[in-house]
Amino acid sequence: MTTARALDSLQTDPDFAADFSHWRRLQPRSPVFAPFPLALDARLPEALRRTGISQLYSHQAEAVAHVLDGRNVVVLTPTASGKTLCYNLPVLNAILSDSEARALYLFPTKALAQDQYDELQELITQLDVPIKAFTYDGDTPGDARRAVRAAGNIVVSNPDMLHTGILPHHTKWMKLFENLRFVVIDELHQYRGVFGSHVANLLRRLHRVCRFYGSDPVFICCSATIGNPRELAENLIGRPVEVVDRSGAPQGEKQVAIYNPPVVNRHLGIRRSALKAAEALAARLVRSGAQTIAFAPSRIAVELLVRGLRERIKVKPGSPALIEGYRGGYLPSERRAIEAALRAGAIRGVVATNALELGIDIGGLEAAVLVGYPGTLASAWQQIGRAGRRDGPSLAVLVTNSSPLNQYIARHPKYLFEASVESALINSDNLTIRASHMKAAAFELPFEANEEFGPDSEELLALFEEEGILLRNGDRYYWMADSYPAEGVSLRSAAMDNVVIIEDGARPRVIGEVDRPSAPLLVHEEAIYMHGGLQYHVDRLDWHEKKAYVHKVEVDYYTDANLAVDLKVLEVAEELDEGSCLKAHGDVAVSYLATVFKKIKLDSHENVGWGKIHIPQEDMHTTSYWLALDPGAAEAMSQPAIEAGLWGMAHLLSGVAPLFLMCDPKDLQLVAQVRSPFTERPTLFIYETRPGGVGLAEGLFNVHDRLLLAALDLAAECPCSSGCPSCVGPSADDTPHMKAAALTLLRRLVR
Amino acid sequence: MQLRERLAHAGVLPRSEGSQAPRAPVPPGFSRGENRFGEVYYRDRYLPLDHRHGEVDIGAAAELDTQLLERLGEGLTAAHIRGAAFLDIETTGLSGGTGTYAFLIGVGTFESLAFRVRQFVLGDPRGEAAMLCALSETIDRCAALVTFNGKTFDLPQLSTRYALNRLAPPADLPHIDLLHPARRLFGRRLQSCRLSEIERGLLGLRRQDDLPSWMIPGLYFAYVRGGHVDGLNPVFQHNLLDVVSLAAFVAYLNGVAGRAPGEDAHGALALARWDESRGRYAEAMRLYEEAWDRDPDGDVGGEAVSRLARLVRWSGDWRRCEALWTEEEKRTGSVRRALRARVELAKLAEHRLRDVGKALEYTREAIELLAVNPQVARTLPETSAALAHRLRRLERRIFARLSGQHRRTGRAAVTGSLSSPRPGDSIPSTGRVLEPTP
Repeated sequence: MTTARALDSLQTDPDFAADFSHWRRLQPRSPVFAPFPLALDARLPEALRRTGISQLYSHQAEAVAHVLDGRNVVVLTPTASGKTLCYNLPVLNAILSDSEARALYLFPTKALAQDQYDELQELITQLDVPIKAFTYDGDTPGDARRAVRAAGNIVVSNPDMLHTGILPHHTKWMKLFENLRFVVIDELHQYRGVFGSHVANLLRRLHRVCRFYGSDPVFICCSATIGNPRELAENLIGRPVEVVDRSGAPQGEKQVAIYNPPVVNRHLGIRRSALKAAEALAARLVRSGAQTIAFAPSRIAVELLVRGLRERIKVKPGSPALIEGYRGGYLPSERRAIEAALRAGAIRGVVATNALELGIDIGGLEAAVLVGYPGTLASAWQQIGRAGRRDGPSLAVLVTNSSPLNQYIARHPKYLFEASVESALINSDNLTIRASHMKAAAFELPFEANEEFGPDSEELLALFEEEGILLRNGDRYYWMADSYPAEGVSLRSAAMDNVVIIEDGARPRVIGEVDRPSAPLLVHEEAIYMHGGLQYHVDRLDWHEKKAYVHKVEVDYYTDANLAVDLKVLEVAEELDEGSCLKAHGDVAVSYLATVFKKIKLDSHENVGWGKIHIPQEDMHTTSYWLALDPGAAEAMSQPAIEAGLWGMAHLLSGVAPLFLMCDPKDLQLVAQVRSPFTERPTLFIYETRPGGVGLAEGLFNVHDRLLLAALDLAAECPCSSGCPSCVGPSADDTPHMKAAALTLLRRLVR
Repeated sequence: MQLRERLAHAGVLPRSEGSQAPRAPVPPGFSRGENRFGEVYYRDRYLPLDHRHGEVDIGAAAELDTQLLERLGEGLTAAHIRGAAFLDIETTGLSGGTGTYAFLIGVGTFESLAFRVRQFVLGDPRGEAAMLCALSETIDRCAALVTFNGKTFDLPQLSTRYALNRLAPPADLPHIDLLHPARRLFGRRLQSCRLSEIERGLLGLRRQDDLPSWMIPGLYFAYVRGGHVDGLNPVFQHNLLDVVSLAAFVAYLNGVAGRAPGEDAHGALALARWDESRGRYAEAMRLYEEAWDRDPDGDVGGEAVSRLARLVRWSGDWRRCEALWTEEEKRTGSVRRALRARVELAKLAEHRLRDVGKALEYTREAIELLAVNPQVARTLPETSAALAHRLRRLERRIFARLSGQHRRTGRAAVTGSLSSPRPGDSIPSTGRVLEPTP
């Protein structure tokens, strides 16, 4: 009832109604059940019946059947469809028949591991059989670690711990590896890009260690909906998998709306703030009685939204809050208390960060508000899925912001509802990443000279020997160095070092860090560095030590550095003549040189000074996708118009790329060359910012057609006159008509 | 870019040049042995039993007194030490994990006429199983293991190597890790509890041209890679001395802890702490008392009393505790120690004996003591404050107890008068009015 009322109030309110760009009603779906597989130990169905589960959903039964037959499986699960049973059932089943059997569960974060551990523990309690499950992470105390190693049937951990704590000490985990029957990888879709490429190599190491102890575990993976579950799972685990993607879970009726805040400055293409609009919407929903969750893109946004909502929905002083925040940085006990109050209905609105869309254990709420498209369909649907009760209707509103991606979705709601087209990409053969894991692998166990660890393994082993890390003895390479290679490798980044930002003073304090590629632009000497809404002046940059020393200032200008980028093609991996253009991808060398910076006044944007930047040139080897225009495509266009068109196109293409590839716009960088020395034509390069690349360049090459089409649609439908941040980027007054040029080029290319 | 440059650029490879290795030769003085896993390189060094290591006769380690043996481990006999393996390993790194090799293993044993140190060196990684097998054969004949920090370093390292070679580890022998007595007995006297510090400070040994530990892995790498065998000589010597030092330290301990309890308060306290850590409480208490007796005024005796009091407290015998602190207060000439005794007595009286009056008395005495010793009071502002606080609390409690009776009866009178007014009970003055009337 409340949902209907809330819905009605939104649809009829003149303040809102006009700006909803789309409404869609998702039909309720009844559950599809299946009996418990007969091969399951009878104690399991009994234990589940005690918790009120008398049969399985079809996808659970299907997944369990695959695993019981020894096949690796990847299960695509919508929110709240009971995915944990897909792995807990076969794992517990195996342990019931063999008390020595072991399983390793990997979750991308500690918080998620803890949540799933609690659920597993409940089922074990119901079974009333002495099965030992433990979490193993950085917080596990020393004595407990011994118990986990010796006696844990189920070890619940994360990839980082496997990387630095477990594999390099595998002899201490002999019991686990000798009896390892299952490896569970939950939240598979999070293992993409750099993180995924690392984890693929980590799993190669895991396979080696298992082989050494004579075990060959079955992999059970769960993923949110993505376009390429099989490809991702197989690339990650290096084994064939079965895909289970037909959910048997029920779904209540749901209304999903897209709200595009009104344009307030047509010239600059600026819309009303998504955060403010979301605040108004969420307040309306809460007031009409719907328990609401809002997802905000950052911690700061969470806090702002909580404050805004509390101001709009006043409570008597002293009475408990109706609105709560929920984000990383809250203690587990605080989180549990908020979850309990939500379930009890005492809290009427909660604001969470995207990062916690999964870890929150609250069942379904009546309404969800998304502040901005979260970047991937998987995340979007996980957030939308938070609104949804099995027995009644629910409502979710996506509030779009002015980024190209958001605007594309506002105009093409089909993308959100119909096709799951985006792919999660990894590059398990990224040379930098793979080489560092190969070293860690050699530390763990000697390499056979002909052993495979991705392409060119033999060459790499020889190289490592030459460099004095390995020793070849007969047909084997042995680790022979005084170091611990896993220590120097972080799974979450490819860049080896960041620049640390230190606030100078009596007690210097680290206030943040920037990744190395951005450092020359953001923390060169005399730069104004923005952090937490405050301004800092960079006094000194120690490039060798990667430290920037800053002090707090309040000035009325910001700095904008100029980066000279040079891109050379090293090797073409694939190219294809499309008629109007040539598309290709391959290896490139990119060099950056920060040259000068400008001081720009905050309000008037006038130039009030400049300076030189003294930072050595940076070189990077990475992969790029490029398209070279056929002479006909740029016909009758002036040189400056071609350049403007290329830049506009580049902005559009990188803006819509996340529609097809699960990536962040900042994972890609652009170079436009009016006459490329390599292709000898006007060429647009979109290259990866991660050294070595994580597969995005090849991904762009593969979705070339759809990419161009989406870019064209976005630009053509944008209401701005001559370019705005939502399409080709803002165009300055003294440059040619960027939007028109980009449109001309795109039309000719798409034709 | 070439593979190498790309990796060097990304920081994955060092930019140095290595060299191709010929097979490492047998070091001079080493023999080849053989077992079912292959070849083993080893050498034996014999030292006479009267060999002086620094200022210590190592032979004394084979003749231990029961006092020391009991302290070293429960059920330990002289035969255990006479038949022990004194073990020390050199590794290719300190970080542990499966990529760290134990490339040199020294085992000292008492033979009939000499102390023998057998050293195994790993000629190449393929020979590891053979070396470990030979080590097992040596150790399995022994009665105990003696190491320095072996519990956290040598033994886990070795068990990793055995596991990696899929070999059963050697027999599970009683293990005496000398780091623990070193910490208990000399932790405060020495700058650190490293073996080198023990050699210098206790055994009177000065090593000539000893290697710094960080150089050791590099010398081994030069040997396995380039056959630079001479570089290993100082490593062999280093390991040999380490093993001999284990025996010498045991012999030294016998002089300290073997016979009567320590000569001085310091020694008695150290021994007592060791006994306490091993759960030998009766002995510990006796030694604490000894240290207390020998040092009535100083810090050593002071620590002995408080440790003794703690052990008594564990037994829950509060009267004995009180007697102990009373005795301390009477006996000591130190203002600080007397002050502490009074504070302890006050706490005991308030919380354990539940005698507020007595607690108040002790507290007042402590405050008086501070008052007549202003120079001590100045250095202990927190104690003064805590005492003042305690005094107020105790006074409040006594006051509350005295006035509480009036309050209680007053309230009762009101309810009483509301519920069932009874003539004659107009102004009750005692609690008796609460008692039910028959």
